[in-house]
Amino acid sequence: MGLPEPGPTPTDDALVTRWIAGDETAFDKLVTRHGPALHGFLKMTLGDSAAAEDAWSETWVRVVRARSRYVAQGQFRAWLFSIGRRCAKDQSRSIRRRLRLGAALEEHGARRVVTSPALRLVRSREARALDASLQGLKEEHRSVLLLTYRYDMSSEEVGQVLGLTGQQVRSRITYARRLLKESLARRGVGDDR
Amino acid sequence: MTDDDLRALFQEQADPPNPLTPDQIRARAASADAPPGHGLALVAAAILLSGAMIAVALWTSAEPNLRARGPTEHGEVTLSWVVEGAAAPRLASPDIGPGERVIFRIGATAPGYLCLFEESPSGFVRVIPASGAWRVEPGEHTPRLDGALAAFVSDLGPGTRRYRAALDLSDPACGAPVATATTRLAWLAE
Repeated sequence: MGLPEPGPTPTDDALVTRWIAGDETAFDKLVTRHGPALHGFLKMTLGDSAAAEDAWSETWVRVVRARSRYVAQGQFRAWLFSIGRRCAKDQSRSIRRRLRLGAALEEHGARRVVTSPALRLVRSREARALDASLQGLKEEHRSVLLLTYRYDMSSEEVGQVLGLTGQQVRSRITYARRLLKESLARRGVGDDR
Repeated sequence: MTDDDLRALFQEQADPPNPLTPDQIRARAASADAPPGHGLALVAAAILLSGAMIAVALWTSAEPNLRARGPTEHGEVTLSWVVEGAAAPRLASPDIGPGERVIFRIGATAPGYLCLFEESPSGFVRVIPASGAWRVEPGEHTPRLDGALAAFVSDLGPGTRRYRAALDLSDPACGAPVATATTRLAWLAE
């Protein structure tokens, strides 16, 4: 006799349906399920914590207000991220100013502070190179890479978020990936030829 | 570098926690939907809220830049710190000089998992615990390593950045915290 089967995890569409019907706990589950990923996407897209938090909050407010317009086709995450990206764009003016400050801090950060012997907490060199390389790309290239490689979205989902056809997505991924690899190689990452 | 290498690199860091709870989102959506006739009530609420915030600020003035979030019925988290270095330990200034380090203190009102995230260009990255889980009972906690107090020095270099403590009831990575608290520290250049 095997272990009892766990209960099925409700799909996003099922949660949205329950939420629209008045079950607020379904909304809580959606926020728990997709909130951190959306936050991570916005943060890496914008390169600014405060702006990402604002965009995250605004995204969910818009989702609350637009929930009845959601068409249940198994693409809630893509719908959510597309709203998130629009919210992020709305903030672009203040972000550009802050990005310049962030880049200046990164340059200073090249000289690493000695870490306490009691606790050494060093982020990997590769992760820091990825941060710097992504921030050097255009937003359209950064977004397509993040959605594809970090969030494992299909070309169709990425297209829905970015408003592109599947062919356009694949073409953009190819170009953006080349730019990223070149940038990483200049930072000594992945250049094993 | 293969596609799999790239995917692994992209997924190396955990996503940052939610900055608001679902209840807070609902409250924001409700206030955004409020008709103009509710303006007076909102102003009154804002005045009352400001008074409450001033009272809280005075009450917590020993711990600068402290900001707590989260519904109290699920638990609360507080974040404070002590600077340790050449000078005497101090609480008042958030400026961390060269050679100095920080000992964080995180309070939790419910059993669960604690994490401390550091703001970086790519988001809040978990720095404590560096690996594994930090399971706690209600009370005040200080990171320890091999039984000794553990101090922290940012490896991001000089700059002002935020640090967020998160309390999660079930997830060791603090992916869905019930409460967070944020403070801001300035790492000074030599």
